[in-house]
Amino acid sequence: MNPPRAVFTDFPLGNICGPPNDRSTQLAIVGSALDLAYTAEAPGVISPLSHVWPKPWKDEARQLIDKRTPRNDTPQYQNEADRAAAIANHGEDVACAVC
Amino acid sequence: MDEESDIDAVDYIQITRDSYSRLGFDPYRWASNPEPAAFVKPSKPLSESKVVLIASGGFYRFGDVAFTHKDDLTHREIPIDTPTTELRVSHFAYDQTSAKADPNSVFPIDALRDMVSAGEVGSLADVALTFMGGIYSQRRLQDTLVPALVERTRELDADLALLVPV
Repeated sequence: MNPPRAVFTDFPLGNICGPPNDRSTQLAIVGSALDLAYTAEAPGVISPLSHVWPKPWKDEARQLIDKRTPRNDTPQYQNEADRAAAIANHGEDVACAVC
Repeated sequence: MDEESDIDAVDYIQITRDSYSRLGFDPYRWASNPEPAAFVKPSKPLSESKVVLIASGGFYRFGDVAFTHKDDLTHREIPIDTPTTELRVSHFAYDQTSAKADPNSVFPIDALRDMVSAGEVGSLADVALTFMGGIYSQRRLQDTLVPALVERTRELDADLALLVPV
């Protein structure tokens, strides 16, 4: 990626905007990102933010365990109710290629 | 880049390299963008600006079609007034425990709505644009998904785009 400017949060993958249900941290991070649009003076600026994840996590993350799911080429729903709702709205051909 | 030298980041990229090789492909060739990104200073203060949220991470709205887990080049449009409880997520490559507990961990829609309520942000685009990410083909990304996102962003008449990768 080559964004015009970016902030960096040193958090576990899947938490880039802050810990779940920590709105004050999320607001601070989003605010910092938007502010950078006004303060960056040149393209390519990456501004690390000072927020620290509330508990140790890097040792585990650095084990780099691959938990990727198989490369399914059909829609993958969070749960079955979502699949049913999508079928009701969009039809089985679109919402569920293998039902 | 100098700024990056102080960052003690976890090298998640190695997972992609290994995963890609296991699929039988040649070593992954990362995108290289030697030219500086387009750089435009905002013309209006944030409190008068319309912001569009563009996020990878696999978010969709309840009742809509989820993404596939294989190079999905489509995007979803989530109406900006969608209740947080109707947001869903499905992604092949990251732990979604936080995203399911609170979508704002990777899709800061409530944070942005709070900033509008507080007068810090002028307004939000009518929809947020979401996609899966983790698409291995640069060419297909650049030929298909990115032009669609750019076109919609222009149509939404946003002043600022907040891009949130995972």
